[in-house]
This record gives sequence, structure tokens and C-alpha cells, in this order.
Amino acid sequence: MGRYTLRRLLQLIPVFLGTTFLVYWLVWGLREDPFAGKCGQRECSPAFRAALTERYNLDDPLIVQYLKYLGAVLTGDFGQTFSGTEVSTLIADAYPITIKLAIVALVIEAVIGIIAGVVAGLRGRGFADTLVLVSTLFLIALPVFVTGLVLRQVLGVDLGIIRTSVPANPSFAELIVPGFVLASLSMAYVARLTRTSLIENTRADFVRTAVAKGLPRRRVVGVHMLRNSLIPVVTFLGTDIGALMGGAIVTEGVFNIRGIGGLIYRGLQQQDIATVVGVVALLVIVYLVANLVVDLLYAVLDPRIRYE
Amino acid sequence: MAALLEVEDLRVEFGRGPETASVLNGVGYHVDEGETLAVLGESGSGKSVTAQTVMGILDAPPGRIIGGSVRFRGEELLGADPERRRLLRGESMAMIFQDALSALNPVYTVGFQIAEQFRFRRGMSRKDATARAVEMLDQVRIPNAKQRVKEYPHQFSGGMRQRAMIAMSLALDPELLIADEPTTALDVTVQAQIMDLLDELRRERGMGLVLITHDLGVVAEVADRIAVMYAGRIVEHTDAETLYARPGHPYTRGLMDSVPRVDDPGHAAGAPLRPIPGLPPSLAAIPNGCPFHPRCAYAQDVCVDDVPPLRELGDGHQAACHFAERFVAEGTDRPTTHEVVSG
Repeated sequence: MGRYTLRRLLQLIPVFLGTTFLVYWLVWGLREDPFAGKCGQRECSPAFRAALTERYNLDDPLIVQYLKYLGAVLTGDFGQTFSGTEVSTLIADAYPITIKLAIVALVIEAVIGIIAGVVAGLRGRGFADTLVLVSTLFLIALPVFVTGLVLRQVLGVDLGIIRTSVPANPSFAELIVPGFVLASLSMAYVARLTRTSLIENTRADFVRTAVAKGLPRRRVVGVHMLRNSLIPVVTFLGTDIGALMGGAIVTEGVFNIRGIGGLIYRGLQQQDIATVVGVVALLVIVYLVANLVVDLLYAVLDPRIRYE
Repeated sequence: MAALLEVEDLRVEFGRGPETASVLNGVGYHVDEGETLAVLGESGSGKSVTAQTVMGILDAPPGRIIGGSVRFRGEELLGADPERRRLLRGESMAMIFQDALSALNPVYTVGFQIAEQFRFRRGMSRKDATARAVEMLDQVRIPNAKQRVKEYPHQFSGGMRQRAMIAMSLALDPELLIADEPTTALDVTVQAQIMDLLDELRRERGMGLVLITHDLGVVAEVADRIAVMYAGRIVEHTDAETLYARPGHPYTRGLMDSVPRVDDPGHAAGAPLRPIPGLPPSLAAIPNGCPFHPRCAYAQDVCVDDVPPLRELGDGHQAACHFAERFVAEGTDRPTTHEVVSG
């Protein structure tokens, strides 16, 4: 497994270089004038232009610009925005909030999703099963911004239980409702995946063996059925971590959370190229690492899978 | 000897409405202490369903027990408290399955699955239970048991896997072992080893053994008695010697004729095989009269109308055929069971 991990880590390098170069080229290379519209209605002053050209190495060929940028990123310098703020400061402010929100969402979708799936899967056709199937279908059908706006209106405005706008440095408790909104879709998928997987395993030969051994029912279910059924669920959750860590533009927008999703959204809107490239470079790494962890986790959960 | 297991007039259906399949139509057999009963029949004849009903692990629904009796040491099991039945499983009666690869849990080590019996049925510590698991693997002659106990089922060969399965089933010292086609998934040389092991363990422990199989060779070697099943009924029941020399049911005869043999002129090289014509009936539409009559070369009018009961022919030989006496008197020209096996 060690060699496999090393090989996978090495594979990350070309993927990282490829994706970041692509983004760099898209935002810097494809524009005729990177300063268009940066100084209101007027043309930017030659002094301003000269300063920024110097800052972003715009006189160099694109590939040299990229390599210089990459060198800086690798030493932790994500550059500055047009207005002179350090991009690394922006990321450092936004990322902890995104991570918190991602944790809340992950816990909600794992706990509620798995419990709902197990209840539905074990009871067979009946009220619980129908309830889970219908409610998950409902969540899947509903766009996230609708879920978010409805909950904000009902819980925040009508009932006054939560604040409609999350404070700048939110606690975990303040992120529960936004976390639920962010998790709702995946939670529905987790519940359905758990249910299907459990039902498939109910008739598995090794479950019949466990029953024939005379093991108590809770052990047959909790040990022999559940462990096998949760393999695909855990894999799904792992992949979802990557997505959650990438920020949540819609949820953050609805609840006014200052996370990484909002940062990248504002960066795009204001055409703040340095922010976009910096955040995307970071997210590429997060996503690739999350994927690697899922693959390794898969081998831990299922001993039949061995990476050589 | 006292009867360990008695099954009487067992009836099981699957499904509902017009699709209802009568899987068991009055099955009865008994197993004594230390004895081997072989249950022989084609796929779908009800061998496994009978075993699952005895163990109390029948999938219900779709399965439905509609009548009969299963007694273990005189205690009625059908309708008994589920907790009581659970405690009997593993402890008094155990079962091993055809395909050990799918019957063992792929995500736990073999040792874990054996030790589980000691931990959760005997309240042993994890360490003691694992030590007992190693002993069990030793008993079924798995070499290097100390190491192998930590391995997963997929790391075992087919034969070793079936041995591990046997070790697991015998952990709590059951008095009755039901082996559901234990050698079908194995290659021939390994089959013989597993059968020898089972036979030896049975003798050592004085255990009753129900051996479910469709392999005539396996049966001849180890069975004290043989019950032949067809369409959810026992159609013939006798000792191995008699069954081979004087089968009383044309179905049994057909089964034996369909085994290719090198020393039989009728089966010489290039001669066609002699399968039983036709297919077993659909259990949702079992023919009137004798269920075997559509495939039977000797069928008369009476076979179409009347179900032949399982009749005593003397010396404990029972057959469910209107003309059983005739077939017994004719006998077969085949050699004794011993020669069948060694040939």
C-alpha cells in the first residue's frame, strides 16, 4: 500500500500542473487587456498599469508568468489582488469557515442519512420505508436554494429561532441550519444508498451463515450486514468531502456566510484574477487529496481490495 | 439408538396466488446419533429447503411452512420460541454451505468468524476465543493455523475455505451437522479430502450428519442411509448397499444410469450418455399422480391418476412407486457400492 500511495501522490503532480496552468491561461492569457474596467469609466493611469504589469509579470511570455506564479505559490505566496490585499489572507479568513460548514454538513448527512437508510432497509416495505423514500425524493427534487430560502424564512424570520445572517466568525451551532441545507441532497443519497445496499446484503449468503451460527439478531445486523453495506456509503461520503471543501456558493449566499465559495464567486464577478487562480489551485489540491484518501479508505474497508 | 432429528410430513410453499410453488410436499426423514443420512436429488427437489426449515433459517417470506413437524431430541421446533431456536443453532445443530467463499463474510478474518462463536455464545474474551479458533483450524487440519487465523476468506484456497467453514460450524460442538452440498464447488481431489474429513469428525464426535448432495459417488462412500428426493417428496429411502443393488424407484435407477462409467459396455467410449429424459416439473404445477410419471419409461395409467405413497418394502427399504416390488426384484446389473466408488 505504501508504494501505491507514493505512486498516487506522484500522479497528483502532473494533474496539479495541468489544471492550474489551464486556469492560469484561461484568466490571464485569453484576455486582451487585463485592466479593462478596472479604473471605473476612465483609462487606467500608466503608473497603475506599470505597477500591476510589474506585480503580475505581464511582460513575460505566459509560460514564464505561470512558472513564476507557481514558484511563488509553492513558497506559500498566493500573490495579491488588484487592490493589493494578500490572496493568502483572504483564503486564511474564508477557509476555516468553509471547513466548519463542511464538517457540520458531513456529520448531518452521515448520521441522519445512514440512520434513515438502515431503518428503511431493515423494516421492509412499510411506513418507515415509504417515509424515507418519499422524503428523500422530495429533497432530491428540491434545488438547494429553495431549501435554503424556505428554512431561512421559516426558522429565521417567522419563528425567529436562527439568525438569517450567520455572523463573521460562526460557531458550529450557528452553522447547523446552513449545514443541513448544504447536506440535504447528499443526505438523501446516503439514505437511499444505505437502504439499497442493506437490502442487497439481507439475502447475502454470509448473512444466512451468521443466522445459522445462532448469533443474536443485533449482531447479525450490526456486524455482518452493516459493515458490508456501508462500504459504498463511506466511499460516497469521502467523495462528498472533496465537494464540500470546495465551498458552497449557494448556501453561503443564502445565509451570508463568508466562506471559500463566496470568495471565488466574488473573485469571478469582480474579475479578480489572482483570487480566482489562487483559490482554484488550492481546491484542486484539496480535491485530489480527498480522492486519494477515499481510494485508500476503500482498501481498509474491504480487505479484498489490495493496491500493489 | 435415539433419534436425533425427526422430520415428518413437512410442507413448505413459496409465493402466493397462482404462482405458489409447492416446494416440500410431505417430506419425512430421521437421523440417529452418530449416523450419516444422505439426501440425494436434483436441484430444486427440496433438499436445501428441508435443511433450512430444520435449521430455522428459511427465508420467510417468500417461504411458508404450512404443515408438518420437526423434532430435535423429541422437542418440537416448528412454532417454538424463536430465541429457543436461535440458541439451538450452532450449539445443537449446525450447517455448512456449498460455496464457502460467499458463505463466509468477506470483510472479517476467518479467525474472527470462528472466534465469534466463542465470544458471543460462550462469553469468552477475545484472546481466549482466538486461541480456540486456532485449535479449531488445527482440528480440521489447516496447516499453520496460527497464521491463517488472521487471514481473510479470499486468501484461502477453495478446500481450505470449506475446512474453515467446517471448523466454524463445529465450534460449539453440535450434535447434528447439516452439510448442504459441501463439496460441489470443489475440484475432485479436494472433494474426497473434505468428505473424509467430515466422516472422520462425525465419528470422533458421535455427531449425526445430514449430507445433502447430488453426487452419487459421495453418497456411496459415507452414507449409512440414503433418502432420494424428487419434486418435494422423498421417493426412496434405504441403505446405500440396497439402493445401488436394488433401487425401488425408476427415478433412482435413472439417476444411476445417468452416471457415465468406464467399465460398463453400455457406457463405452463414444456411446451416448443416458440422462433421464425431460426436466423436473415446475413446482408451481406438479403433475397429477406420480410427479415423476411424465419422465418415467415405465409409467402406466395408474401413475397418472394416483400418487404413490412411500411404502415399506421390507428391511427398512421404502419407495414411492406403484411398481416398486418389480424394480427391486429386477435389481441392477451394477456392482456393489464399493466398486462404484473405487471404479
